[in-house]
Amino acid sequence: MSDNNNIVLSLKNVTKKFGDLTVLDNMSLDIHEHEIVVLCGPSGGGKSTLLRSINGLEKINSGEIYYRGELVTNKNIKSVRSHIGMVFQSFNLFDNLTVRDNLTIAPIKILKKTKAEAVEKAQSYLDTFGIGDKMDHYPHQLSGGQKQRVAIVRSMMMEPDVMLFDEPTSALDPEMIKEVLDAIRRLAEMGMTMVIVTHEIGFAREVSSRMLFLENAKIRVDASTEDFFTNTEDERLKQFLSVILKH
Amino acid sequence: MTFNWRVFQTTFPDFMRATGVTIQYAVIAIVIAVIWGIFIGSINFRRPKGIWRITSAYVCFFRETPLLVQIYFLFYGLSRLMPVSASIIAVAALVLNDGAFIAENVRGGLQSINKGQEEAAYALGFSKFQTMIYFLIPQAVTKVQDSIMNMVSIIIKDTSLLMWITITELTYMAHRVNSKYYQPVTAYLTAAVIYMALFLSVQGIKKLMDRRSQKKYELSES
Repeated sequence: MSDNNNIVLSLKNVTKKFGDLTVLDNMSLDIHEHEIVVLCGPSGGGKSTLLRSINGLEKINSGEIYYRGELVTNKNIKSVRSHIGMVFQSFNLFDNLTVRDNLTIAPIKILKKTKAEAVEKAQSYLDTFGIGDKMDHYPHQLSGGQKQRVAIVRSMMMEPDVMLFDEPTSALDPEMIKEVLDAIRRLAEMGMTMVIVTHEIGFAREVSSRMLFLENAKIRVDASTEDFFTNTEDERLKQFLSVILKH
Repeated sequence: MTFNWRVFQTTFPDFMRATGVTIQYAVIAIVIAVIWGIFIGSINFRRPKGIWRITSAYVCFFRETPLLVQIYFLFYGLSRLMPVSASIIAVAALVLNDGAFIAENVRGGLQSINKGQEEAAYALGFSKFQTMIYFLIPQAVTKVQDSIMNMVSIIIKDTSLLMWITITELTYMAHRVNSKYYQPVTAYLTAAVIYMALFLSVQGIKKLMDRRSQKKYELSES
C-alpha cells in the first residue's frame, strides 16, 4: 500500500471555501490502484466537494491535486478528466441524445474511436449491466436505475483509470438501488479503482477496502474497512455508526 | 368600395411576383437570423469578458426600437459609409432585428438547462466549446423551437416594412396597385389574403415537424 508507484490520485493540503465557509480544510489523501475508498460522514462534511474537486468541477482555493504523479492544472485538466470517470447523483445523461449517442459521443470525439468500435463496446457493456435492449431509447424513457447504469457505462466507455461516484443511489427508489449497487460490485470485481460517496453503509462495508469518515471539512478517520467498523477509537465515528447502522 | 375582380385578374401576376420577393426575403432572413441568434444568444449566456457587453447592448437596442427606424437607420446610415444595395440593407435589418429576439430566446433556453448536463460533459473531458456545440445548443434549440417558428411568421409580416426602402414586395405591390387603380379594398385584401396563406403554410410545416419529432420518440419506444 505504501508503494508510491501505484498512487492514482493524490491530494496535498487541499483547501476549498465557499465564501467564508471552509468545506475542505487542508486535506491530504492518497488513493492507490485497485483501492475502493468509501467516503462517509454527516451532510456538509465535504464528501461531495472532495470528489468534485478531484476532477476540477470545483476549483480549490489552495493545495495541489496529482493524477499519476502529474500536477493537475488548467492546462491538463481535460486530459485528466478523460481518465477519471464520474457518476452523479442525478445521472446527468445527455437529454438530447439516445443511449447509443450518450455512450459513444465521448469515445468518438475525444478518444477518436471509430463509430463501429464504440457501438460494439457500448453494446457489450449494456449487456453486462442487463440493459442491452435500451440502445435506441432516450433518457426520459428509462427508469432511474436504468439511467444510472447507463451513466456508469458512459464513464466506463472512456476506459477510466479510476471512477468517482457521488451518491449514486441517493436519487433512486429503494428497489432500483440494488441494480445500481450490483453494477458497482461488477466494477469492483473488475479491479476498478473507485472513490465512492454513499450513505449505503452496508454496501460500503461489503465492497470497500478503505473507509474515510469526513466531518467539519476534515478527514477524521482513515482506516481499512475492517478497522473502521470494528476497532475504531473515535467517539464521533462510533456515534455516527451507531445511528446509521441501527437505521 | 367593393372588390374589383377585373383589377384583381389584371394585377394577379404582379402580386405573385411580389409574393415571391416576400418569401425570398423572409426565408433568407430567417435562416441567417437563426444562426445569428444562436451565436449571439450563446455569447450572452457565456458572458465572455468585454464582448458580452457589446452583444447585450446590441440585443437591447434592436429589441427595444421600432423595426422601421432600424431600417431607415441602416439604409441612410450605412449607405453613407459604403455602397450597399437596398436588398442587402433589407436582409441585414431583418436579421439584426429578429436575430436579437431569437438570441434572447436561445439565451433563456440555455439558462434553463440543468447544470448537470454541462458537468457531465466536462467530466468526460469535453471542452467548453464542444459542450456548447454537442449538448447545450441542441437542447436549447429544441426548447425554443416553437418560438423560432413564431419568429418565421413575424418575419413574413416584417418584410412589409421593406417597401419603404424600395423593395418590391407584397405590401409595396398593394400600394402600387391602389395608386394606379384607386381600388384599396381589392389591393389590400389581396395582399392580406396572401399573407394569411403564407402564415397557414408555415403552420402546416410546423405541424409536420412536430409530427416528425414525435415519431422519432415513438420509434425508440418499442
